[in-house]
Amino acid sequence: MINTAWVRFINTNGVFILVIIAVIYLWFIKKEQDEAVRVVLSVLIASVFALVIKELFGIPRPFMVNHKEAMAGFATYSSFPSIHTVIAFSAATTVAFQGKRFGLILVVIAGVLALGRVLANVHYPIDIMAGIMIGILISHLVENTSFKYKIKRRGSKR
Amino acid sequence: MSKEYKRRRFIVLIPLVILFAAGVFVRSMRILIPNTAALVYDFNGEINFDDTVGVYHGMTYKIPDEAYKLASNNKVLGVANPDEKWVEVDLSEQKLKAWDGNTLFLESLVSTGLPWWPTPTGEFRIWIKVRATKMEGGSGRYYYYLPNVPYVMFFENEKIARYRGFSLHGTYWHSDFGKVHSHGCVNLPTPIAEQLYYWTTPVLPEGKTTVYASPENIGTRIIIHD
Repeated sequence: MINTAWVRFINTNGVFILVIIAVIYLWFIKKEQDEAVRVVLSVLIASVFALVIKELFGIPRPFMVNHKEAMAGFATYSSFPSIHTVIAFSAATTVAFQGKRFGLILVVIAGVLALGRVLANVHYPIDIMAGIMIGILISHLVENTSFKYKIKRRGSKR
Repeated sequence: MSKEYKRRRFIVLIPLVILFAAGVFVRSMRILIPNTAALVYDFNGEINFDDTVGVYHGMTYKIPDEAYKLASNNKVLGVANPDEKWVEVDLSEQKLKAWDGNTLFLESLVSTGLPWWPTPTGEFRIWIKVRATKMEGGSGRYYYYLPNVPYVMFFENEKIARYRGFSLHGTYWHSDFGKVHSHGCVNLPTPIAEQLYYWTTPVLPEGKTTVYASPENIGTRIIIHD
C-alpha cells in the first residue's frame, strides 16, 4: 500500500508542494508578501545549513544498510538530517507565525511527510528529529531578523 | 524591540552551532582516525569448517557451499608480463574491469564502501591473496562478523597500510552488486572473485591456495577511481 506511485510521489515531492502552498497562502490570501519571502528565505537557509550538516556527518541511509527497498526519491547521499523534514518544518513554522490555524494544519502535514520518509526506508527517526529542530530554529531566526523592515519600506503598499 | 529581547533571540543559534560543531568533530575524527575496512586475524587462508554463520548489519547468513568449493582448475594462466595486468574499479559505476594490456579479461558489477566507510581511491598493489579469511568490524547496528570470506585479494599502497584490511573478495552475504554496500572493501560475486583470484598475480605456487607477494612475484596493480 505504501509503495504505490502516488505515495512515492508524495514522499519525494510532497514538501515542494507544501512550500508552494505556504507561499501562495501568505502571498495571495493573507497578503503578507514579506512573510512569503520569508518562507522562501528560511527554506533556503535551512536547507543549505542541513546540507552542510549532512556532508559533515555522512551517515549511510537505512536502505543502504538493511537492504529493503527505498520507496522515495531524493535519497542519494547521507541520511542525517532529513532535508525534506527541514524544508517542510521551516515553511510550516513560518506560516504558523502568521496564521495559527492554517499553520497548525501545515505543521501536521509536515509531520506526516516526515513520517513518510521514515516509512519509505530512506531516513532514521533521529534524522527527522534533527530536521524538525533545524527547521523550527532557522525559521525562528529568519522571523526575528530585521530584514523585514527593509522589505516593508521598499515594497509595502499599505 | 528591547535590547534584552534582541539578545535572547540568538539563543536559538546555540543548538544549531552545537550541531555544526558536532558535525565538524565527527568529520575530523573520521579524517584523523583512518577507518579499517576489516579486522583480519590471520592470513593462513585455511577454511574454518566449524564457523558457518556470518552476521552483517544485524542479519545472519548461512555460508553457501560455493564459498567452500575448491576450484578444479586452480592453475594460473601463463603470466608473461605481470605488469600488463591491471584491475580497474570504477566507484561511480560500481564496476570492476580486469585488463590484460588492452584486452578486457572480465567485467562485473561490484559493491564498494558506503558513504561512511568509503573505498579509498588511487593505485594499489595486491600484497597477499588468501583463499578464505575471517573478517570482523563495525559496531552496534553496523557490526559484522564474516567467517570464511572467499577469494580475498588484499591490496595496499603507501597511504593505505596493510593493517587497514582493504581487499577485493567474494561475497556470500548479499547480491546487491551495482550498489554501495560494504565497509570499504570491494565486494565481488563469488564466481567472479574466483576467476580473478586465479588470474591476478602474485602467482599461486603449485598446490597452494594462499600466497604473499614478493619482488620476484609481484602483485597485480589495482586502480580505483571515482
